[in-house]
Amino acid sequence: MQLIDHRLGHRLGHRLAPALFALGVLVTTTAAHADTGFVSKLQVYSDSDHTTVVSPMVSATADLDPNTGASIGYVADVVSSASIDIVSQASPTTIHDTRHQLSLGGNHTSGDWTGRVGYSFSTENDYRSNTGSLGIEKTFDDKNTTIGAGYNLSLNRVGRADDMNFSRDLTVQSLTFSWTQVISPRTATQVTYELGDASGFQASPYRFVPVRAAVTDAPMYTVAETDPDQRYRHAIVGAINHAVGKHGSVQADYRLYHDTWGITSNTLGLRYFVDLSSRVELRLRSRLYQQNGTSFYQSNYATTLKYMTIDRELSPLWSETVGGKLMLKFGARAEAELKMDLFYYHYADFPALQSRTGANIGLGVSIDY
Amino acid sequence: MSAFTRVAIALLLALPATAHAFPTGEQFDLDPMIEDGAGGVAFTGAPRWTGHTCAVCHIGGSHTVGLRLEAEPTSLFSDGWKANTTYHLRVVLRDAKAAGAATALGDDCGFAVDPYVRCDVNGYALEVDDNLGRPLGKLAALGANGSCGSAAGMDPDSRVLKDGTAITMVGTHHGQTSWDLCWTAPDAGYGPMVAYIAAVDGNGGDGTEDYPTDVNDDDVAAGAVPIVEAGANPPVAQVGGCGASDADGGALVLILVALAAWRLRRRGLALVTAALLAQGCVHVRPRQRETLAQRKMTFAPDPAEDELDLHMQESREGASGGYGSAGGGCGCN
Repeated sequence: MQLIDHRLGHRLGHRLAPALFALGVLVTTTAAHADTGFVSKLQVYSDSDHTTVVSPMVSATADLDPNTGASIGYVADVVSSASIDIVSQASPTTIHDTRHQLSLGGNHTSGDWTGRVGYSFSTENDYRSNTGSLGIEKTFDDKNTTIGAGYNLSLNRVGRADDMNFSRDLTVQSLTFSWTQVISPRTATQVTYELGDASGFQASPYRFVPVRAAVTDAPMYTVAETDPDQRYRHAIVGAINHAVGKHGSVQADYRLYHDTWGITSNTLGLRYFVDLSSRVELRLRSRLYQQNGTSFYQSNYATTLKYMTIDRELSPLWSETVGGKLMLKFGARAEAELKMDLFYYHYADFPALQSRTGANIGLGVSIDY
Repeated sequence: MSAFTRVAIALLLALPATAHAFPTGEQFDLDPMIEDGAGGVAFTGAPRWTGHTCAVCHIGGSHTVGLRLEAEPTSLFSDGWKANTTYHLRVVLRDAKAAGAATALGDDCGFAVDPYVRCDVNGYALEVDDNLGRPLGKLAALGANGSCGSAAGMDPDSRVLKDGTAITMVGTHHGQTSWDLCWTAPDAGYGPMVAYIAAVDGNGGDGTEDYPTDVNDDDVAAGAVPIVEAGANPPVAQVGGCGASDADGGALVLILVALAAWRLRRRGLALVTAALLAQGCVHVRPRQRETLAQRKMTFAPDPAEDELDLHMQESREGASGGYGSAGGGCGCN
C-alpha cells in the first residue's frame, strides 16, 4: 500500500492491464505458431529512489488443434520502496506489497481470419482489476498485409489500505487498430493506433498536495490529490523491422502520444539483433522517451485549484534506457536468457527529485515441445 | 492444405529435437509418432506445406550453402517444359561444409569404421507444382544405365514418396552433394510450373555414436525454380497489394524520412512519405519469407519480456498504449 503501492496498482491495474492482456494474447499468438511452450522469467528492478520490484512470471501455451491455441500466465510484483513519494508524505519509511495477476487467453484461426479472446485478474491489498479483451485480424494479399483490431475493457476497484470506507471505481477501455505490411523479403512495417478512455477515480488515494507560497516554505495545509475523472489517450506507433546481413536485424519504432490531460510524448526505440553463433543471439537496444507535463501539474501550489497533483509521472520528464540481452539455445527446444537494462530519468520540474537511475536485470528460460 | 496435413505438420513440430532428422529418404513416408518419420510431408517449401522447408527443424547452420538445379535437355529452362517429355534433373548442394572434413571420407565413416567418425549426412527434397499448388508430372529415380526411362538402377540416389508427389534422397551414402532424378512433364495445358527444392547440409549429429544425426548446426538451402510451359503464352505478372518496385533499402530510408518529418511537425510530408512507402513495396511470396520468419524479424519477438517491460515503463511515465497489437508480422504460417 502507500503511494508506491497505489502507483503500481493504479497504473498496472487499470491502465496497464489492457496492454498486458494484449501482450498476453501475443503469447498466445506465438503459441499458435510454435506448438506447446513454457516460459518463466524473473525480473528485478532497482532504482536510486530506493525502490525494488521483483517480478516473477510464468506462462504456458498450447495448441489445442492446428488452428486453436490457449495460454495461461501468472505474474507478480513484489514491491519494496522508500521512495521520495513516501518520505515526503511522512509515511512509514519503507513499504512492502505484492500484486498478483492471472491471465487466460485463447485464439482461433480460420482461413485468413484470426480471433482472440482473453481475461485477466489482478489483485493487491488495495486494488482489484478485471480485464477482458477481444481481437480479430485478417490477412490479405498472400499474407503480405495484416489488418487487426482489438478492444479491451478493464473494470477496477480502487481502495485505500486501512480505510474500509474508501472505494472508487475506474473503467478503462481501449480500441486498437493495426496494419502490418511486408514490403520486401527482408523488411516489414507496422502502424498501430490505440484510442484509450479512462473514466473514474485516477488520482492516488495516498497522495496529498501541500499548499504553500513557495516550494521551500512549510505547507499551510494539504489537500487530497485530484485528477480529472475522464482521460482520453491517443497513441500511434510506426515500426519497421529490417534484416541486416545474414545474421542480424534492426528494429526501429516511434510512438507519438497525446492525451486530454495535456501530455504529449515521443518515444523512439531501436533494437539490433545478431547471431553471435548458431546458439547465441545478442540483442542491443535503446529507448528514448520524452514528455511534457499535464496541463494541471505544478511543482508547487500557492492556492487550492480544481485539479492538483504532485505526481512526478505527470511532470515534464525524459528518460533513456540502454541494455543488452543474451539468448542461449540448448538444442532445438530450450533457451535461456540473461538481460540487463540501465536507465536514467530526468525530471525538469519536480523539486524533490531531479533524476533517477537504475537497472532492470532479468533471467529467463523457455521450452517448446 | 488438408486438415490431415496440418495435423501431420503439427505433430512433426511437436516431436523431440532428435527425432527431426531424416537421414534416409524412407523416413519421409513413415509415421511421425511411432516411426520417427515425416508422415508424407516433404518440406520442399511448396505452398501445400505452407512454405515449410527443412529449416523448420534443422537449425543453427551458417546460412552459406546454395542450391543449383540442372536439367537435360537444358531446353527445360530455356524453352519451357514440353508435354510428356522426360527430363533428367540434378540437384546440386553448393558450398556444403557443415560436416567439414567428413565429406572426403564418403562412406568410410560412422559405424563402418572403428573408432567412430562423424559422417557427412546430406539430403534433399523436390517437387514440381503448377500455379494452383498441385504436384504434377511423374518423378522417378535415375535408371540403371544412368538415363531416365531405363530400368530401375540398383543403387539410386533418389526415392519417390509413396504418393508420388515429391522425391527425396535415398540416404544410403554419405558425403553426397548432388542427386539425380527424373521428371516427366504432364499433358499440355497446365501452364507455368515451379520446382520447389530444399536441401540439408548435415553435420553428422554431435559427432558421437549416441547422436549420429540430429537437427542442430545443419545448414539449409531452399529455392523455387519457375518453369514455363513451352509454346504457351507468358504468365500474367502477378499483382498484389503493393507496387512493382523492389524497395528494400529504399523502404528503410522512406520510413526514416517519414518519422523525421513527423517529429519536425511536417505532417504533410510524413503522410506523403508514408503513402510512397505503401506504394513502394513488393509482393513477397511465401517461399521468400525465410528471413521474415525468423524470430528476430517479428514485431514482438518476446511478448513475455514486453509484458514485464511495459509493466515498469508505464508506472514511471505518463504515456501508455500503442504497443499492444499483435498485427500479424510476416504471416509465414
